[in-house]
Amino acid sequence: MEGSSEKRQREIILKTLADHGWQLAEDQEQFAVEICAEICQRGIADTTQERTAIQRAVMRHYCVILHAACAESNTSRQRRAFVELWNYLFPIALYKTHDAALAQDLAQQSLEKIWKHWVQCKDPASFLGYVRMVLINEIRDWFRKNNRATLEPIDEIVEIGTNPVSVQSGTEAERAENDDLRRQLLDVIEKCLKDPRQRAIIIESFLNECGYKEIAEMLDITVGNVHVLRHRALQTLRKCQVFIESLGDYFK
Amino acid sequence: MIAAISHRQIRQKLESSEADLLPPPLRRLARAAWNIQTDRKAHAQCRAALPALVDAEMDGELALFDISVREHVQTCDRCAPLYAELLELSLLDSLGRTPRITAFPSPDLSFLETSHD
Repeated sequence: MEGSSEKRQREIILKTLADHGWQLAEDQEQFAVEICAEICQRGIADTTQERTAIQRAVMRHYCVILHAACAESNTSRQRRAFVELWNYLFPIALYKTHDAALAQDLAQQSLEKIWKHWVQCKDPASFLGYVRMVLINEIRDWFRKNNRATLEPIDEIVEIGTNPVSVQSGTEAERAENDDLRRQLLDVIEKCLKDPRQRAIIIESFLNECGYKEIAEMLDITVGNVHVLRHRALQTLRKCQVFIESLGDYFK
Repeated sequence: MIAAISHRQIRQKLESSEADLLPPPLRRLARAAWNIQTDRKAHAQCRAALPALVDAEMDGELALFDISVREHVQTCDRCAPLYAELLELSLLDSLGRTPRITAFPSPDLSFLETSHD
């Protein structure tokens, strides 16, 4: 039983490496053993969750290898690392710009910035996240300099699903009953924000400390939509007299 | 009769230590609404931590991440959209929804042969 589970995990690990074209893990067997040990320690029962956890672990572990290879000086591993970074960045640049030539330019500029500033990446396990951030900044700079709006208008709310939003979920109501502050805040938010999605986002974000991803899944919208709705809700709250007065009560 | 507090007075109080009179969730919410960052030095540090914060959220470990970084992202109008964009890309990547390229153009790696200086 244990053997078949390890075999399945190993297959996912090797497939994840192959799908990304990641070749810098010299000893793939050892690489797989380390990840299997980590996953076993976490004891994930659900196979879908296990697959996601393995893929995330592969990415984290591989980021460390990639980061170290980028730091080498004029070696074939360093060249390979930058080719892999290119293969990672170019599709993202294409997705964001919808223009192959521009995507190529921006991915190239990002590669050079990464090479110059890779020491600024404080956490090698998040190296691909750092790399993505460099690219996004390059893309934003380009659009700003060329006075062009981003191709994905952040003001546009795209519905992914039609799940109804219930601000007064069971757990929400239970928590609110036991907490005066929460009740008071819920009351203010209810009065100030008419859009149930905006209410839900403010409550989940500030009262329940949920992240964008969790909220997006809850409301069946994209992370970008969560950000836009949150931004609008905060603007509304700032102008809302009920909210201002509730703050004023604390400052009396 | 106590005069109603003005928009400007709220801003001044949120920027001062008087903000500590507010319960933490309300303080965070108010500072986000008024776009007030208390520690400008923290901005660069938080920005550097954004990739790791995205990973923490992807791994379902957001609650374990440094609270000061999480709070900064909630209140900073420059970090919040960048964070949302990075997270969105990470999600698309994990779902395999970024474009699949069959023939990649080649990068110019000549910069690797030059010195960092």
